[in-house]
Amino acid sequence: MNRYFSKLSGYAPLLLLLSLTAIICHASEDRTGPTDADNLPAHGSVSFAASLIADSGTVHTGGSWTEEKLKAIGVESMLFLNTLGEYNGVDAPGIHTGTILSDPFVLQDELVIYAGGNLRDDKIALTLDDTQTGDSLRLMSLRKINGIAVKRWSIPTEWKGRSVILRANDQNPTQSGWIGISPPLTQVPGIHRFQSFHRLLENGMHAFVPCLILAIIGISGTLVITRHAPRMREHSLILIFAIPSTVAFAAFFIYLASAVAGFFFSVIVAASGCFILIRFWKDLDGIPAGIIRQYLPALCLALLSAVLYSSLLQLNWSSHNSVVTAQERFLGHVLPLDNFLPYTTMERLFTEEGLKPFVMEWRSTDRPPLQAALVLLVRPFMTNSVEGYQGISVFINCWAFIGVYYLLSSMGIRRAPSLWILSLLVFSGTFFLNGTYVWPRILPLVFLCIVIGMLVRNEDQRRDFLYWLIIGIGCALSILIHQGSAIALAGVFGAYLIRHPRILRTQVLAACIVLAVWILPWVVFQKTYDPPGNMLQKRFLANHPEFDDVSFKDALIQTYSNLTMKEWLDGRLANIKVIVGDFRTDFCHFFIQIGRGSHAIRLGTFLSLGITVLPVAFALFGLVLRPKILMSSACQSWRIVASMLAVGVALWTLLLLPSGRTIIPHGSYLSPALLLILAGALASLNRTVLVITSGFNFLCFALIWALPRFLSIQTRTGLEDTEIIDWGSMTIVCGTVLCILWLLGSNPPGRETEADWTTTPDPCL
Amino acid sequence: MGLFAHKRTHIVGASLILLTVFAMLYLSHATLKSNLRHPVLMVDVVKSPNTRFKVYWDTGSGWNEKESASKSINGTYKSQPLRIQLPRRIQGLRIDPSEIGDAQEMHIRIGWFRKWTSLNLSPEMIAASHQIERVEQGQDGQLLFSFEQGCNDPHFVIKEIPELLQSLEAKRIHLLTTFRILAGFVAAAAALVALFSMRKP
Repeated sequence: MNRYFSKLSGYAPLLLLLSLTAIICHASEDRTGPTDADNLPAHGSVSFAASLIADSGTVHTGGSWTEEKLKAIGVESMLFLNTLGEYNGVDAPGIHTGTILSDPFVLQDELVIYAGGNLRDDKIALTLDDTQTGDSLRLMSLRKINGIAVKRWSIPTEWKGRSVILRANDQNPTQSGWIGISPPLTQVPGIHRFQSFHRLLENGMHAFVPCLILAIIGISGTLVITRHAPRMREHSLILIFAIPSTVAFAAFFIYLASAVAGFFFSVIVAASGCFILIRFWKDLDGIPAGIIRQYLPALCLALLSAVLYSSLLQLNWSSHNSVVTAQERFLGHVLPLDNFLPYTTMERLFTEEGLKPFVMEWRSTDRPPLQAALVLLVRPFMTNSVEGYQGISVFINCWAFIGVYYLLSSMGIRRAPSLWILSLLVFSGTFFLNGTYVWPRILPLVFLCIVIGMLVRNEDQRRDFLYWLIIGIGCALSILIHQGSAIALAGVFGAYLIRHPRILRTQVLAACIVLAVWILPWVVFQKTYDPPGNMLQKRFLANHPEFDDVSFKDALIQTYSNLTMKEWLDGRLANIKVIVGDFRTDFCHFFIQIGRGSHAIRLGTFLSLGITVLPVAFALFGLVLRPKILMSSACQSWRIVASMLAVGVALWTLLLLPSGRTIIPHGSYLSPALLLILAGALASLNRTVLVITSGFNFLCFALIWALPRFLSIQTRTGLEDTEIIDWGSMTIVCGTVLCILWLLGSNPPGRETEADWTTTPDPCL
Repeated sequence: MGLFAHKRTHIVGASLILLTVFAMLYLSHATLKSNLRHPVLMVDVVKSPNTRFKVYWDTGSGWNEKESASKSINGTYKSQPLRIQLPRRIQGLRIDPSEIGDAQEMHIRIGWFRKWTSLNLSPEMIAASHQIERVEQGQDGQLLFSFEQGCNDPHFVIKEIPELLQSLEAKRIHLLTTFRILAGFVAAAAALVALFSMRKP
């Protein structure tokens, strides 16, 4: 382990340098608060008093957005409490559209405006009208405005020095609401330039101790169990994740009964973890140290991924907290509230507010609680619950990469190529987007991948009860994080049973009993606390989107009895299409949209695999170069994983009834993960192909998720230019990417000979 | 070997874990303290029509809309908890349990958490009832409200709020002290365990 720590210490100068750069950049910026001079335009008077027009509703200026109102729309800080021109359509009958016009002012090099709206789909069209020629320059249109956002434009040369009027038009006639515009400024006030960087630091600060405590609970629990049951040693990795998850599941019900009892339970569990770790510190040289030694590279990659994802989320300025930022940061539309639901569950239980009624028409029993429970377990150690929740959730989402690493080692792939294959997932838009938009989609992968790894690794343990008990616990915990895991597991075990039809029934029965025992409290809660709690099953397996008390069975019978064969087949076809995505569109946008924000391609990545399948195509070259090896006994585990992927995708395609839903909204991400793992495994047959595939994947990731925003801000003038790079966060992004590349570079796939991958490593130690 | 003879790696490990223990205790104390800063009106609605529950607090300016808060009650739920945070220093509390005349059943507590740190409201603590026909206490301690026919603004005032807040303050201090004692024990025990378990054999 010392070797790894000494290697890690090599990061220290780099990290120190990056931190210093960030601090110096930060310190050198003018961070003085806004003054009256900041708020005034360079030329002209822009009070809105004289020129307010409303088609309906009311408009006024000089009004005050009170702190309560700003907080209600999720805005934490606001410069212009008293200077906004505001259109209010709330009380207007019929269609609500309104226009705000400014007095004339003279344009300079840049124009900065704070724009606001109170609805998630509010749209404001901003234009500049030349007062002399009547020409118009469109600044922004049909963009979401949620809360307050700062917008900045570089003014085209031909427009500089012209006298103009700013026109703001509310283009959302279907909803009542209001929009607001600040007076034009010539630069972004200093106080907002590093807001995202501060939020990124907050993520880390508020999540650090809770994450450490989760790790301590996992390691100390494993230590105790392996001391008393030495046979559990080889399952240490899954125990490290399963113990905090199980304790958190118990904490969920304790908090439900009493928040005070839950609070003391959390403190006592965390303290006990620390005690055990101190008491048995000497034993760390045994099992946990062995695990840490073997999985340290994956652990480093997972931690670096968490930092990278969080810093990319905060790469541009945002006035919202991290959770809301994740909803609106990457796509052309605002994502729904799903990433807030675990937070709502956690916070309501912690403050004893109760879970019913829940959020909108959803019930707290509709979704399994484990992600919320994990954060709830360490909630007493968070002083800022929103930023802490985001930070911890990103961290636990990245546990999935450790599970994937275990699966790769179970497939007989050695450390260095495993890390390169893992980078395919780390730099995948699908995992990145779902890693920052923290709904429980990626987290189940840690258990699913370990379960698959155990199935393909230990053929000789199939008679062992303990082995099946651990598999049962792993399956139960993955289902308790996300119900979609049940279908994913059906695919896994479907393929496994086809291959091993004579599997011992008693062992499997034992696994099923353990699974049922683990899930039973949740089922009882579902049926008694706020029944029926079957909305997701009805929606996605029976295409029954109404919130009602119809049972799942009735909904299923009703839907299938009214379904024609043609409709069913069309739905299956749509499901197949969405797995690959609209590839042609994605490919075109890949080049066309580089300078335009790439919203379509990002959406494609979110909805389906989209462009992430390109690395798979590359990887096939590995197979072409060494076709025979795939049929050898050494690749048997690969074939099993491939059959699990095939059966899983077939099940998703057949069972998900609404058309085109195979990946989103409610498939777990096991299928994309397995696809990328297999692609990487094929690519690893040839060192060059693996490096090219990983390199290409990284390039795609950089172009789609990081560079477009950067390029658009630097190169496009005059038109839409709505987000500002936060250079503090950018420093962290660059530093983290460098660290990941360094980690990969120091483990070149060719160093371990190609013969090595045919040997399955010893389990765990 | 003596009590203070430790391996260097053990000292580093023990120090890290002890730091985590102290950070954990500090953070949990800060969270608990911030949660206990303002008293909360906790309402557990057992039976009610769809209506709004409203609270006014008097800080010396009388009852006014600015110093009020309201929450909607969904009548379809059998048990529905509501929480309304109150200012720390208030002189009076007025509760408008409903906007319509249908009967209601609810537990009303003031404090921080349902158990151990709250006071149950009983009919004896209710004064200045307006448009409220009867208030009774149910078997489980819940309040049963029946309103006058055609009422549109039933409300009541809670008696002796300053005394109530004083006894709540005692409960708050009691809870915080309990936690501090526990935290002290945990910190001391962690340090002792570290000292003993990590010495050289």
